[in-house]
Amino acid sequence: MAAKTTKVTITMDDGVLERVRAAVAAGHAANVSSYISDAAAQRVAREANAEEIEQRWGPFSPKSMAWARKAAGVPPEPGDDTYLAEIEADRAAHRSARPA
Amino acid sequence: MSTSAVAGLVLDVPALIDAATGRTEYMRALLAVMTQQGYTIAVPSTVRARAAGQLTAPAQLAELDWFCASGTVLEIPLAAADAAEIDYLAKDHFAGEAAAAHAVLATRRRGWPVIATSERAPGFRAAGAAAELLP
Repeated sequence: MAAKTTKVTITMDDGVLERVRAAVAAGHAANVSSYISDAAAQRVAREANAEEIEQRWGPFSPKSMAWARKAAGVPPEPGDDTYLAEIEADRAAHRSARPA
Repeated sequence: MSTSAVAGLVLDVPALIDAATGRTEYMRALLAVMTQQGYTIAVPSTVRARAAGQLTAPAQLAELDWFCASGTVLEIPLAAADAAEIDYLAKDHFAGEAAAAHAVLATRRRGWPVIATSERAPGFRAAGAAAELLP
């Protein structure tokens, strides 16, 4: 049985829309609605999976999330620099405490 | 400090052990962030085998399995065709350890950095791999 659908109006960047239309013209999706709907469904699934991880092992500290964002190459959030500096300081202390 | 999207990362043995044991929460937080972004975490099969060999508690092995079963994690099998190159890398940089050499090969093939400890990072860097240090 097909999922219930609702028609909505969205606003998007012209350049992105142009790429979406090109993808549809190339046969990568049946139409613009299908393309956008698939993209949204993928994001919803990713966020649900991330929530499942958080429920199993979280909540994660701001410090660990700051490091994770840096390692993943995700733009930092406010305060991340402070946590990353703490991590560096911990690492330096660990190095200096290690026997030569 | 890099802020460009990496799209993927490769794990070394201590990083995977950290994820399984929860010794710190860094690796588990990393899985959450990578999942949210739709990125990939590559785990060479030899890295997983070596990590499993160092875990003794069934609960930790179950967590290792759960981590690796995540849709974000891609396990990279050991191909017979790569055996010689892995052997050379292992002898040259990791005192014969195949798991680290397999991780280097994965970083070279995909252009992704490896998550390594500060103790093991010099070996990866000497082998030409970019290494992100596990706190």
